[in-house]
This record gives sequence, C-alpha cells and structure tokens, in this order.
Amino acid sequence: MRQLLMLECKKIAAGVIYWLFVIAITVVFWLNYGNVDREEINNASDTSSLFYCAQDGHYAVEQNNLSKKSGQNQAMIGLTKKLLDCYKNNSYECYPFGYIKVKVFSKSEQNIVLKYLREITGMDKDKILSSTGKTTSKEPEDTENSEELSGSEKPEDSKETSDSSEIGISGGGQYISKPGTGHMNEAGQYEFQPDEWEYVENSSDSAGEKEKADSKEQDDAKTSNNSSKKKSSEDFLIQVSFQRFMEIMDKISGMIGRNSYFSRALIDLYYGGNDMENSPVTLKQHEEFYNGDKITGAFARYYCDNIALAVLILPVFVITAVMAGDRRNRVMDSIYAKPVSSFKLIFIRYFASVGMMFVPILLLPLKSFIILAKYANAAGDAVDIFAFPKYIIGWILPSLLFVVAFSLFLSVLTRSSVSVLAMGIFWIIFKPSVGKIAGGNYELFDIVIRHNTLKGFGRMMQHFDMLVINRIFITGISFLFVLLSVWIYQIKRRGGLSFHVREFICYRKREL
Amino acid sequence: MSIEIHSLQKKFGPHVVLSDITATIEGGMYGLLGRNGAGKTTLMKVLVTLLKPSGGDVEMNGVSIKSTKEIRKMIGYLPQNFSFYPNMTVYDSMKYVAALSGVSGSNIPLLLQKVNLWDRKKKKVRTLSGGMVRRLGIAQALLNNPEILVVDEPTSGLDPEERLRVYNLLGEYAKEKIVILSTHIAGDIEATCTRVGVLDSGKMIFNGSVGNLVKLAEGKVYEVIIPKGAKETIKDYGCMISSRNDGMNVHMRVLSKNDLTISGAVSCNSTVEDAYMALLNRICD
Repeated sequence: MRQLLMLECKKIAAGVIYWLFVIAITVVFWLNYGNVDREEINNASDTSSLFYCAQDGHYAVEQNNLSKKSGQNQAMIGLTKKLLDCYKNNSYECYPFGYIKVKVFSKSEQNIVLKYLREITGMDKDKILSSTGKTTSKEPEDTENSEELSGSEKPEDSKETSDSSEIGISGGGQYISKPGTGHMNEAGQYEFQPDEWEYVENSSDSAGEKEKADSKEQDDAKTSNNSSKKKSSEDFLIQVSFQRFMEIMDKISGMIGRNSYFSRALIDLYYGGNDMENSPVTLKQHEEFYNGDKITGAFARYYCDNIALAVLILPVFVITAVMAGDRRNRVMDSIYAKPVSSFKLIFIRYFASVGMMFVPILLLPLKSFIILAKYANAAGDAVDIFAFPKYIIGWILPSLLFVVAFSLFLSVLTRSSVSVLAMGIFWIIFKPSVGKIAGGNYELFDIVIRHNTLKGFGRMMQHFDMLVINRIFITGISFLFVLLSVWIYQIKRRGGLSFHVREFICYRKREL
Repeated sequence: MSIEIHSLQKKFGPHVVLSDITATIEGGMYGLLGRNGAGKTTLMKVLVTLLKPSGGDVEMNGVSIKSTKEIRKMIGYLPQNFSFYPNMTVYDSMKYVAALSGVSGSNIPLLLQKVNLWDRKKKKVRTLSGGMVRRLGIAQALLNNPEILVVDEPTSGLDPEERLRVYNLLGEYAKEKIVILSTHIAGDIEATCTRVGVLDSGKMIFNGSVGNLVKLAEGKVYEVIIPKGAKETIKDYGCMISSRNDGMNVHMRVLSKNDLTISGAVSCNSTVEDAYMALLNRICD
C-alpha cells in the first residue's frame, strides 16, 4: 500500500500539470500575501498596524458597531449618500458572483428609489438631484475611513464626519455628536476620541446647538476652499428609524441583486466592525493579536484566506490529469484487470493527490513564519509556532479535500476533462460572497472560509463552533464523494455506466 | 487448469455482440481468430472481467468470473492498445503494476531480462519503441505469474523480428499455463497455437485443434495461373485467397467448394488461412 502511494506521488510529481499547479499557487501567494508580514512590521508605528503598541496604553475606541446608535447613524449617512450617488448616475453596483456588475434601472425602478430617498431624506426630487453626486463609488469605505481618519491626522476628512453629526430622525428629534477630545501622543500622532451620539428633542436647546453647528459649518466653509458646495449639498436629515432604514435597504438590495452595497452582508462588513485594513487598532485587537493569535495566528489566517480561492479551482487540474492519464495513456484496461480493489486504488490516488498539493501549500508561508518569529523573538513576544500548520490543516485542508474529492468524482463519472469545466462553474457559483470576505459569518455549506484581514480573531472565535462544524461537514462530504467515486469506478471496471462506442461502431459496420 | 465457457452472451443495448459461445480451453496456446469486429476483444474483456456477460457463465479453474477478485488474481492481461505512463521509468512501471497486483515484484529483474528490457529499466516509457512497449506489456501481464494469460493482438504494428520475439515469449509461457491470444492474422495462429477458435459476427464458428481447422479446407484449395485480364472471371468458380502478378499472368490461390475445372488449376495443401477463409466464406461443409 505504501509502495503504491509513493508511486502515485511520484507519478503526480512527474507530470507537468502538477508543477503548473505549484507555480500557480506560488504566484497567487506572492500576489495576495506577498510581504504583508514585513510591511506590517515596518509599519509598526502606524496606529492601524497590529504591531502598533501605544506607549501610553491608549488605543482606538471601538466604533461603528451597528448595535450601537452611533454606528447605525454612521451607516445610515454613508448608505444614503451612496444611494443618492447611485440614483443620480443610475448606476447600481453589486457583486453577484464576487465580480462587479453594474445595473441600470428602468424609469419605474428609478421612481421607486426616488420614493425611498424622499422617505429617508425628506427632500424633494429637485433637491435630491441637486444634492452632491461627487461622493465616490467607495463611499461606504470612505465614510468609514473618514470616521477613522477623524481620529488621526486628516482634519478635512474629519469635517465630513462633522457634517454628518446631525441626523434627523422621525419623531422630531435628532442625533447630535458631542465634540470629541483629542491630543498629541508621544509618537507625535494626533489621537482623537469621538464622544457618543446624543438624542436631542427639537427644543430651543437643540435648535441653539444646531445654530451653533451651522455657524461652525459656515466658519469651516470659509476656511476650506473646496468644501462649501459639498457641505451644503450633503445637508440632509435622516427622517426614518434605523429599522425602517434597513427595511428600505433590503428592498433596494433586492432590486439591484446579490451583494450590493445595500445588502445586509456588505453593510455589516463596512459598518459593523473595526477590522478594515486602515482601521486603527483597538485595545481588544491589540490583546487578541498578542495573546490570542500570538502574532503568527493572524498571519496564518490571512495566508489561508489569500490562497483559499486558488484552492477552490487549481486542484481540479491536478486530479483530472491523474485520472485522465489512465485513459490518455491507454492504461485503463491494464489497471482495471488488476486485483487491486477499487477502494484502495481510488483512496490512494486521492490521498496522493491531496498530499502532493498540500506540500507546497504548507511550505509557502515558511518564510513568513521565520520573519515573524525573528521579530517576535527580538521584541520578546511569544509566537505560536504551530499557527501556520494548525490553520492550514484546519482551514485549508478541508477545502482541498473537498475540491479534490468532487473533481475526482466528476473525473471517474465522466472519464473526461469535463470535470475542469464543471469545477469552473462550481467555482463561480460557490465562491464566497463579498459579504464573507471579512470572515466570521460562517455557514455550513461554505466550501472555503474567507478572512481577508489580519484582525478579527475575536470574530472568528465568536463563531468558532460554526467554523468547526463547517470544516468537519466539508471534510465529511469530501469522503462521501470519494466513496461515491469508488462505487462508480467499481461499476466502470466491469464495463458498467459506459456506452461502448467502439464495439457499437464495429457492430454497425458489420451490419452494413 | 481449464477455462469453461458456457453459452456466453454479451449485448450492448439491443445489439448482440457475443452469441451463445461455448468452448473449453485447456493448457497451451489458444488462438482466437476473427475479422475486425467479430467479437474477439469483447470475448477477451469478458474473460478478464472487464465486461459483465449478459448471459451464460465462464469458469476458470472452477471459479466463476463473477468472483472478479479471485479471477483477477489468476489472470494476466495485455490489452490490444497497451501503453503505460510515459513519464514513468520501465522499472517503476513494473513496480507500479506489482503494487496493483498485490505482489512484491521480486521477479521484476527476471521478467525484464526475459523481455530484453533490463538494460532500459531506468529509461522512461516514452522513449521506448512500439515493440519494446509491447514487450513491457507482456512483462507486466506476467508479474503475478498468472495461470491464464490473455493477450489481445499482441503483434499488431510490430516488425517481423519483434513479432517472432513476442511469439517466442508467449510460446515459452504457454508450456505450463494457458495463453489465449487473439489475432486476425491466421499465419500467426498456425505458427504458435495448438488450439483455435474462430469467431464470426459474435458466434464461435469453429473450436478445435489447428490440425482439424486445416482439414476443413482440404481438397478445396487450388492454385491457378490465368491471364491478367481474366482475373475477375475466377469469382464465378470460387473465393480468391491471394494473388501474385508475374507480368502477363496472375498466380491465384482459390478456394472452391467444388472441383475447379479451369485448365491449369492445381489442387494444393491447405493452410490455417485457407481454412479460416473457407469458414468465413461458408465454403466448408
């Protein structure tokens, strides 16, 4: 058995397709992961770097959580601005299969959007059309960044946040952001801590505050050359509650298609946490990185994410080449007639293929591990030396097992390279949605797990049970497909499930 | 050591490819003759458990072919278009087949020497000539020292020297075991086999010794020399087996059910090819 396994591995290694796989996975690794370890270390003084250690112990404050009022308001403003922009340009983006798709609405659909915009902002059509359209298509990110940047060094951007600091809601009151506090830290960076949002009735007090805010805006407008127009045009008040707002978003999202900016998944992604690449590190994230991830864990997770999509498609070429090799090299009949059991042969081929593809996946992040271990050693920090193998085995291996098993099944069933085509379709359909790239929202049928950020250990741990169930489930399904392959192979070894073209042609010739 | 075939039938959908085949094959070399599409390969595939019979049964040394695992242990098979993984070395190919056959492979050096490939054991299969690949095929089929060796058209595409070498190898093995070989070259059967079966349209129209087959055409074979222009007229008298031009005249070998009355026609000794042609053209009684 060992001899057969070794020979199968040797056979795979002798094939061009296998080395193309190795090259492809290496390219994917370099393009996606590259030098993220070095960059993160080099940027250790940046507040967004996970290696950032605040001398005074002050880290960014948790914000933008949709369960909090402030986060909800942030989301409503950002999304409304985005919707205004989309409406005026009649251009609605979504990511149905992970790729961008721009949808143009019909007149009636535009009218529906207008109706919702009027409900949300209280503005009439003319005002809506004259409101700014200059916000970029990455508005949700920008909005979030402006929030985070308001905590760093960009006063102009932070002004945008202050623009949004007054949000009217139905009921006559409005949310007002209290001025935050800021100071220069020892590293010479400006740290800003925004205060909580406060609900204020439309009383004389609030009116007074509004006036103050208006006059402040006017002052800002004088000092800022480019912001006066923008500010006035962005002046809208949210007239609906967050619950109603989300209902509207659901409807609009339904009109646009899967994974639009207004879908729950993307709203959660952009406004639900602090894990965007440029978000300043919070104390919680700092502790998670050093105590939970022990440095290497975060990078291991990020590495797994970066090669996840490649693992969803590349192995199909290797296993298809292995199985198609029998037919192409005319060894099928010779092998079929041997006493080896179908179970043994298929499982050995399966494990040989998985093993051979797993080796480069396991070895690629070795350089990253050495860099991180050296750095941590110099800094006196603990690292998890098993983080990479642990994550690769727990996170990537089940996906690899599944893809190889499914491709094996198709190869055995069709005895052709149609499995490559089928897996291509499979890849398009089952590629995780954009809403899952930040991880955490695991589902049972997720073939690959996304986690496209170094942060988010806590979010992963929060849903760890589901993650484990998913990985076990995917592994189980994989073995089911291998068993099905064994069954089909066994039938085909005795001439079943085949249309004997050659014999039929001979028969027809004879008949004629 | 014997193979008992009882009323074997094989259908592909509605098409009957093998019909009511009954035969007993004992030790030695057994030849299967038949034109292309006669059912030789199908019969062989049934024997080596690659196809399930639609009816009837086959027993090898008392074991039914339904017991695929046992049957596969006692057979060696060289398919018609044998080849192997081109990137594997000759030695690794043998080791691979040994692993598939569940044997240690200790006889690999001996077998490679027998088929004259020992010097090329480290060469990749893709560098071998057609004849060498065929010899490798025989070596891999013999790895588990099978009781029954089934070889499907082992010499097609080989030059005469390689053909001879292959038949010598098979002949040697057939001294102690059963070797079933299929071919559509009647001369090969005559040179190597003791018993023969002739298949036509899925039916076994002859099963017996080579000598008995030859006897079927006795007295029905003639050599005729006729002018070139009269070549076509011979069809009225019988079936032409072969012809050779010598300028003005044509020398023809003709099968005729009745006495050939053409002037210059000489009765001659029959061969397996004559008998085979006589069977196929229904010239025999």
